[in-house]
Amino acid sequence: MSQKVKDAYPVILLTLVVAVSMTLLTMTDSITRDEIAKRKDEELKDMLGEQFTDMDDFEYNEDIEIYIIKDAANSTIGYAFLAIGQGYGGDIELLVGLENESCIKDVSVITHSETPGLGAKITEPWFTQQFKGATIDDLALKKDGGQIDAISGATISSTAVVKTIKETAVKKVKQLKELEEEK
Amino acid sequence: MGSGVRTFFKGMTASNPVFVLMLGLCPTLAVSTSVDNAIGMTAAVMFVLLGSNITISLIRRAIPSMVRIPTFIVIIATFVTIIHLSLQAFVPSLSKSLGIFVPLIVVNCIILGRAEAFASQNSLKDSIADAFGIGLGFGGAIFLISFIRQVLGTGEMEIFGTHIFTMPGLEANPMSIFILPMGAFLVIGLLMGLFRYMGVMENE
Repeated sequence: MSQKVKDAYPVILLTLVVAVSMTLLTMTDSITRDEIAKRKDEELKDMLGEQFTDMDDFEYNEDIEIYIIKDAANSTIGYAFLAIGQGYGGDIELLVGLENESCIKDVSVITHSETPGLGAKITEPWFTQQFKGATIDDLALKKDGGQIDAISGATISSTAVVKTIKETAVKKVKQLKELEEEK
Repeated sequence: MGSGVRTFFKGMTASNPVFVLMLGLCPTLAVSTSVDNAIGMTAAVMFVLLGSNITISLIRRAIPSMVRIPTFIVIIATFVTIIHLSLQAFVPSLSKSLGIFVPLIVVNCIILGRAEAFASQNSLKDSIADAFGIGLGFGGAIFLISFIRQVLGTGEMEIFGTHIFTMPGLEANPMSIFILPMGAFLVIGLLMGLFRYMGVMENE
């Protein structure tokens, strides 16, 4: 083997390894991509169904990114949207259901990176249930004059959830109202 | 005792990745906040370790020393990504409970460490034994750390939603510091000291 070929061998080998890796990963991606998208849709649908027990179907408005929840008679029984905010350990993603334009129906935590045993308690029913029926405009922790009990030892996580819900809800309601005025 | 069996047991004690080799401490410390996390992380690490040890041992004679590290990393990252995507697509419930711990395996030095120190220089049979031994050694260590941190930090022991026991008095006022990073360092440091004092888990 000539010297040049011998010198080039490490490069060739590494290129080969990377090529095999890329092939495997591309194959894996093409097999899993649709499934993963389906899973996310299923999960969202399940969550919406849990929040709105009378839900029969829902519409997705792409412009304002809101789910319009319909019952069996095709009348609108509520709205839902995704809200993302910065928590203590990373982003917290929530699904917020609205009863109408001023009241929250329910809240579900989709993903979070909060500390287990502390901030992670935002997923516990006792915490999320506090948001049921709460008015958007008055939404605040008890220490800030509102009705929501924070998680002791996890003020940042609790504040993040309240802030994210309130800010996103205010924005979405505004967009909803604008949409209705256009009609 | 064959070399395989010897390798297997060594991985759990004399070469324990957490208490002796002290590899992959960062994800270990971060993840050991509850026993659920420990079990999930161990399963994922074991899988990747097996895959990477086997692959690297199989092609070890073809890898030139100069590019061995990048080669190992590409192989490891490929395995981790395949597992991550596959879990998300086909076993979403498991993927949810393991969460970010799966991609975190790429930065777990245990995998790269074993590739370099063992799989690249030993037979396939021994490399498989090493993967099992190291994986279980890691699992035992992280389980122990998580158990302590969870009991002291939350006052109770709950595994996958099943309540095991409650520490009277602690549940109302748990020592939350054990769930935070400082607690991780405390527990692992004290355990290491204890094992040294007892004379177990020492490097041969």
